Amino acid sequence: MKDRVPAVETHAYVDKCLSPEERKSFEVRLSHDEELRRRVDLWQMQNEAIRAAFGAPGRGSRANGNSAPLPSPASASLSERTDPHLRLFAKTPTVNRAAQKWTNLLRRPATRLAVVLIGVTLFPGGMSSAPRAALAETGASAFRAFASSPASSLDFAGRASADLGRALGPQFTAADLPEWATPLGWTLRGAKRVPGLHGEAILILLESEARGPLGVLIEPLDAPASSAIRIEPLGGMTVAAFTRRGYGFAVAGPADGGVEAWLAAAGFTDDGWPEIDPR
Amino acid sequence: MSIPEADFDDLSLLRCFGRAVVRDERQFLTETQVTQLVDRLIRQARVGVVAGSGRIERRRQTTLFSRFVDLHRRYARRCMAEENDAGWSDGAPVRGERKVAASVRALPLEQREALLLVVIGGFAHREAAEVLGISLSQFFDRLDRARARLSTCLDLEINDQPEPWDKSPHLRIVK
Repeated sequence: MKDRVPAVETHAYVDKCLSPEERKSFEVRLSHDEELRRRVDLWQMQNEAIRAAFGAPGRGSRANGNSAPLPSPASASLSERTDPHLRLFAKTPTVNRAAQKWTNLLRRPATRLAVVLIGVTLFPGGMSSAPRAALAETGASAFRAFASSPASSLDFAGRASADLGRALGPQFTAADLPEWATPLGWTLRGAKRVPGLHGEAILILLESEARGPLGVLIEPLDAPASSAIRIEPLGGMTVAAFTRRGYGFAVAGPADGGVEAWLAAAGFTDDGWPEIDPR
Repeated sequence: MSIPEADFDDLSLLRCFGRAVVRDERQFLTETQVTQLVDRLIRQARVGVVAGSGRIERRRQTTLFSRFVDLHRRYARRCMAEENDAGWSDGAPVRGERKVAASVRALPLEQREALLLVVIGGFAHREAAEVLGISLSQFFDRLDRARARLSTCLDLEINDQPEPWDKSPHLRIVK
């Protein structure tokens, strides 16, 4: 019973049932309590994985279980962050007939394909910033939960990158993982299966004597094949998010230049794929 | 008794919640059976709940979810009573089912309801407790257990020791 109150508050925070003031004060505690931070990250990842598994729209912040209609435009914020398709087809009670007609039209595969083609033509830079932000948040959560502590359980532990490539199997074969994952100066700690944006992702854990730990989250996505690298600070970390060859990448690490250094060492440029080192 | 028409969108959350909650480890249901069962339960739950305007307000939505939960529990009890009929099985995993869905399916019904009302239904804790007809304290117990169990099922616990490389299992392929 000793943990009762913190557990209740943690549930309330994860499920966005706290008022803005309560939320702020909980976040202060969160920044000082590593264990609590990890639990919150795990539960948030669980929530997102469940919503993705059952095709449910995300939920946003609501205070203290008030009787606001759901999902409200404000409560759609999480789905916007996590799933571009859910955002596109998010159902709101206030949708009008005209909007419904458009939604039905957009549900048709041919229309969706046309929209994607128009998008690619008009915006050759690739995916918009919203999906990349969602990818970055997923990568940051996974890194906080599993990469920052040496005690984290790993599905693959070891330092042989060729073994990792063999073990990952066909789901990640096209990513040519082992060849570029460990550039000079970085060693492989292992890898873990984690919930991604839409399904299962792999989090590769690396470390460098000079730069410390780094997490590379890779998920096969139904996304534009290539998008520019977006680097941003996120919760005291630096996260880079982008897509290449239909894979979503989120590179997360401490805000000490490690992410940028790894991207440069691995050979990721704004539109390029790393040259494979035969070593 | 005629049932007033409701907007499709008004029921989409309930349908999504229903499709997640009716899947149980001990029962094998095909996709078609799940759809039919959820549609039937929603039809029954809607009787007398949906207003003529077709717009379900928050209060009505709570009542609708509550009725759905009751009807589904009744259905589940009946299935358990008639164990040999209705396809109750030994909980063999459904082929191709994703690990997350399978882990949710493996939760006890009351924990599954609590978790999915919050995560999929989007209810606040107090409202979800109201839907289930239990106290807030009981609700938190269920939610706590559901999340702890799910963490174990999904292997998301963080205190295990890493296995040596050569003994670790191969990554499972997700279809």
